[in-house]
Amino acid sequence: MIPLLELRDVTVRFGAHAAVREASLALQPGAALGLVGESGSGKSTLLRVLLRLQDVAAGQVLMDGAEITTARNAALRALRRDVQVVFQNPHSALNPRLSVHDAVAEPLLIQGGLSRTKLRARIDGLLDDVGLGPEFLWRYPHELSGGQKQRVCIARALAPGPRALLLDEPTSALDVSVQAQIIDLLRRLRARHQLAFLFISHNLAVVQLLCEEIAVLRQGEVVERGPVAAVLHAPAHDYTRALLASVLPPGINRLAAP
Amino acid sequence: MSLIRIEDYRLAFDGFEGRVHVLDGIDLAIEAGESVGIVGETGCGKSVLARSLLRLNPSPPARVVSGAIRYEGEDILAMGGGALRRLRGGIIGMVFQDPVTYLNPVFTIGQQMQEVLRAHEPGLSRAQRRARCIELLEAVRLPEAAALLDRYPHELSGGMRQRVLIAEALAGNPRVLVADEPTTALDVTIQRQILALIADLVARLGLTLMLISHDLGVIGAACRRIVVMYAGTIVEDAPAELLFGSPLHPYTRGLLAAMPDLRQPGHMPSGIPGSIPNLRDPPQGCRYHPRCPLAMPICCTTKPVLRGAPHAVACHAVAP
Repeated sequence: MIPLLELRDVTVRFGAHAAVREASLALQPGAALGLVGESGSGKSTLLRVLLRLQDVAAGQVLMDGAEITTARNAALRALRRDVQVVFQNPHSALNPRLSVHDAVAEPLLIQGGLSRTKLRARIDGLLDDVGLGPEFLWRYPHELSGGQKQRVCIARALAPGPRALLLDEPTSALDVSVQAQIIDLLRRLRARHQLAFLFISHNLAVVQLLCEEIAVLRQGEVVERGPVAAVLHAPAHDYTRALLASVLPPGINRLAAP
Repeated sequence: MSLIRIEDYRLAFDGFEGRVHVLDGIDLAIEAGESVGIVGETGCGKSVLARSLLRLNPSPPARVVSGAIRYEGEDILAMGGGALRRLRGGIIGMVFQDPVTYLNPVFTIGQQMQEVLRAHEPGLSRAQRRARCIELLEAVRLPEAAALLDRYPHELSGGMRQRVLIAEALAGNPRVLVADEPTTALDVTIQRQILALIADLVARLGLTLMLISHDLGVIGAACRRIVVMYAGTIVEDAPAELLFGSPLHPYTRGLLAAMPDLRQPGHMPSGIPGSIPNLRDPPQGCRYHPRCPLAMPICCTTKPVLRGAPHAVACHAVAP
């Protein structure tokens, strides 16, 4: 199968510092790949590379098998429509001056081609998809809770009818009771729309719930990659083992002396 | 006599749009040597409660509506300037969430630590202060402590900065350490090291610990007793093994059911329906009743009392 998105030996440099070093990844259509690692491991830089928001120093970026490493403008139209992104902090990802309606309408208006009644029906459908009732349509971000804002961000990402969502820590700014709701929503949306997920998180337990595959990043390098069950329950790399050993599950945890 | 005793403490914030009832009738007694974890979600009042121990909530807008916070019987809320200065850092040391914002970027680590020491021990000579700084940095297991004194905060990693802040919190030889989400801004591998350090310092120095966190795994790593807060009230207070083994309050159960667990790949966490109440106009009776699966008519009218020992719960539906 031809991957929807692929990175081949990608290196990204910021000055002398290599944020990503010869990283290779493939996201198959409909698959869910988790990207884990600590701060500075290059997770968000890889996401920016996949969105073509970040140029690479070396390596290739491919979409549906076609190289888009240096593509610009019109050549990126398919990428802009088919690959959407949800960011970590819903409080800063929404324009405070746009109502829920206007925020979700914006990508649809950019695409064009919808009559006024069809536009409204599409927005109603998207809000329903993310579990927000019609009473939210004309609300502004400051009138919404963190969980509701993240739902609006997801509705906006779904508006162009993407084939993949890139999710950058979409639940880490939320409370656990809300996080559970968003995880459940993402699972249902993925099944309903046959979406591919690239899910960035430092929380291995959340990755386990949403992804079938996982890639572990450390200092810009992919150190381990494989099915979730294999990587999380029989890790091959020392760093993956260290990450797993650091997880504190809910309950009494005994710590070794420092 | 308990080391710290909070009695019927009510705190409100006066805002332009009315009064926000942030803490509502908090009763909590902490004995010397206990390690108490305060857990709850955004807006439950856990940080405001922690800051209340040091009277750090700015007033206005904060206004104490009723109650007392006693340290060895003396009401912290009534303390004057001198007693308050001794309390802050000398009796209760505090560590905050974000180690970046609590260090001044334009002073070296040594200058900032010396400032703390000058406040606590004005009689020390320059050389004595320097020696004490090195001793404190070694206590938090920072290598090459002497060289570190000349470094600026930006030259340190997040974990190192939090160690420096813990060292500063210990500079006044406090008996109580209050740590407000001390590892939330750190990576998981560093989080584990910092928690192990805090647990070790508490044991070695005989400190009493109050640890604030939204994460039951973090609390479960450093605390023997856990207090669960919701919307400005304490809903459950129990030894850790009882809280995890047989949680009573519907909110505690909801919180535990919402946490994903790496050890249980098949367990799908369930969220708590609804959202946290607006504390400008909190629900009457039990503040959890609009979201509670066990709510009864009495829950809408009468605030439940926190009852039971050692496992206390504030709930009409589940009696201990």
